[in-house]
Amino acid sequence: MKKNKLQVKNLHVEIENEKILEGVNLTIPRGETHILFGPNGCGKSTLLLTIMGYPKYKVTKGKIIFKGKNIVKMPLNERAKLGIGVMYQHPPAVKGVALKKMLNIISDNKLKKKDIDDLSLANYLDRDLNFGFSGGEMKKSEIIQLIHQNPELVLLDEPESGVDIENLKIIGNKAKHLMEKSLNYKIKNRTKMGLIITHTGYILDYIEADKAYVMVDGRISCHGNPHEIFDEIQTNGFKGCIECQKSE
Amino acid sequence: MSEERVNLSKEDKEKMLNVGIKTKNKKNTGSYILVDDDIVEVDLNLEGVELMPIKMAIEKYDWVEEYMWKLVDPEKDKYTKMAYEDDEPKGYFIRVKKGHKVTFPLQACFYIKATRKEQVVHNILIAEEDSELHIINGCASGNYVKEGYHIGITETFLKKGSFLSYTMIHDWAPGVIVRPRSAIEVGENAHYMSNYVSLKEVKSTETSPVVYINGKDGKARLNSILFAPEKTDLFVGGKIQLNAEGARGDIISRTVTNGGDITAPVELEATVEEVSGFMECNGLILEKEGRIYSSPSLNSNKQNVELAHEASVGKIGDEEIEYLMSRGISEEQARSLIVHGFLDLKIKGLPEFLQNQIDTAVNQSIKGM
Ligand SMILES: Nc1ncnc2c1ncn2[C@@H]1O[C@H](COP(=O)(O)OP(=O)(O)OP(=O)(O)O)[C@@H](O)[C@H]1O
Ligand SMILES: [Mg+2]
Repeated sequence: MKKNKLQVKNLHVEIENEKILEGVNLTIPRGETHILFGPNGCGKSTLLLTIMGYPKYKVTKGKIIFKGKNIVKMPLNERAKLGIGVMYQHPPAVKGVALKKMLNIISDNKLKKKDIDDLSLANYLDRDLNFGFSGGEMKKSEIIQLIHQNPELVLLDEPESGVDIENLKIIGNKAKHLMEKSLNYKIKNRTKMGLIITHTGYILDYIEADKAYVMVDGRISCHGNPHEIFDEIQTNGFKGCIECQKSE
Repeated sequence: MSEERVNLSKEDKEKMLNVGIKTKNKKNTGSYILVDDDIVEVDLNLEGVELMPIKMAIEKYDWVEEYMWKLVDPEKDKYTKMAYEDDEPKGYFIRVKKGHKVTFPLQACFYIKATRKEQVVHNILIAEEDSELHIINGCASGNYVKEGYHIGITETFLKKGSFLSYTMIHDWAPGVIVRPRSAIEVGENAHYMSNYVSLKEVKSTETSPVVYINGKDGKARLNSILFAPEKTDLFVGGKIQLNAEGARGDIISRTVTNGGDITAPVELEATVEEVSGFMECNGLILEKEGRIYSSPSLNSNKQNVELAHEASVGKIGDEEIEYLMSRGISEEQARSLIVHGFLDLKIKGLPEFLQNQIDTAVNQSIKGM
């Protein structure tokens, strides 16, 4: 079980010959959830999508090790089968594929009715996946898919952006559950790993995170206690983190 | 007219089933099956409906001939000429009598068994006032048929307040050439709907039904669902002419090519004021490429009309495929899910049985993609 962790080692990623990530290192041990902060455009989503395996994100150097395997060359669907799942910042709409059909396929026909009801998604099941969904509905569609997929490594890209206060509570709690962070999971029994991108920090009210990183210009510039780092960003912006990077 | 005279093999029957036709029908239905030139089944158990070979209808009613060649010009092309010159017309006559509403579909089937067969038929359909009828017309041939022609003239008349749906599912063999020539007249407050489904390899199909809405508030809707694998040439056009106030025309097509060639010229024409219509033509080009030539056109010299269209041709977006894959779905399955969804046209007002037939045909063709 010791192998059951995510390691990103000296990861360099290019999109269309443009360098986006330049040597990212991080490790998420089994049972831990980490937070990723950073200014717009620094490469946070790129990191998540590269871990997931999107082919347009070219890994030019470095390794992604999950469950003891370097998965850099593994196709998307195999990574999903291995236990990686993303809640997207900007999911595409898929016309002609109903949400319900999708949930049935990814869960082997085991619809989770309670979760669907909790998220008030019953009326959306017959609609085309994300098609014409509002911002908040899109997030709910994403989290419900992830719940059905039930990945071991849960990657959330701004789960709370565009979500109203009531839905934030529901989505926050679902995410907590998904990541085995609710109280009924004893720390030693936790197996899930998580990486969450957030700007607002609201998600920290629901999920007790173990560590946070700040990414600046495609590199991790500092790490530490999630609340401390968030407070620092709140008061001084990302300036402090940039300084921190220089001094390292 | 028994099945013994013409031997239908298991494969023949399966092919018929693919296009929604069951031989030896249960009661409460009507069916007409023509194999090459032989009528193997005419069977009717529906009150208010007449179904018979066209030849018999001409003998029975002296007015039937007046309906023949009323909407289709025999001089139109060499195929109509061929049908016109055929002195022993095959094909069916179907009439639903005034006020009768029949929701269980009537089935008709044209089947080609012999190679080098030229099958020529002329059909007359009449929906009398305030009647309702649904017809499923399956056209198929044995896969072993290397060469063959199917030429079909169909003239349809909808009287005041009637509703007729005509669902046509094609499953010809690779060597077959298909030339249907049909025209429809829609009367006051009547409603015509056609569903044209062709999802299998066929050498060449060329059809372009014309609907004349001649009665006030008449409505017509032409749906087509087309899939062209390699070596398939589909020309499926259609036109609705809006000739009376309040007339409404809709043309919807979903076309997918995987190496084949699809031409879909469709047209709405307004000849009077106060009419409306809409066309929606969406095409999808899969890996083996091929070609889609979609040309919706609006034609009007009147001011007070409301005509619009929407058209698109494209390929499946990588983004959608990758998104589905990131949920653990293989690339192949992701593609077929999207194509299936694209062709999965849910048709309002169509009896469930017919919708199921269309769905089954779509499912099958996707499986073999
Ligand atoms: N497909 C693409 N083509 C070109 N550039 C891209 C593409 N995807 C991302 N980029 C660029 O890569 C950089 C990093 O983008 P990324 O989406 O990872 O940022 P982010 O940190 O998630 O930002 P935000 O907080 O705004 O979501 C940006 O400059 C972006 O414009
Ligand atoms: Mg982002």
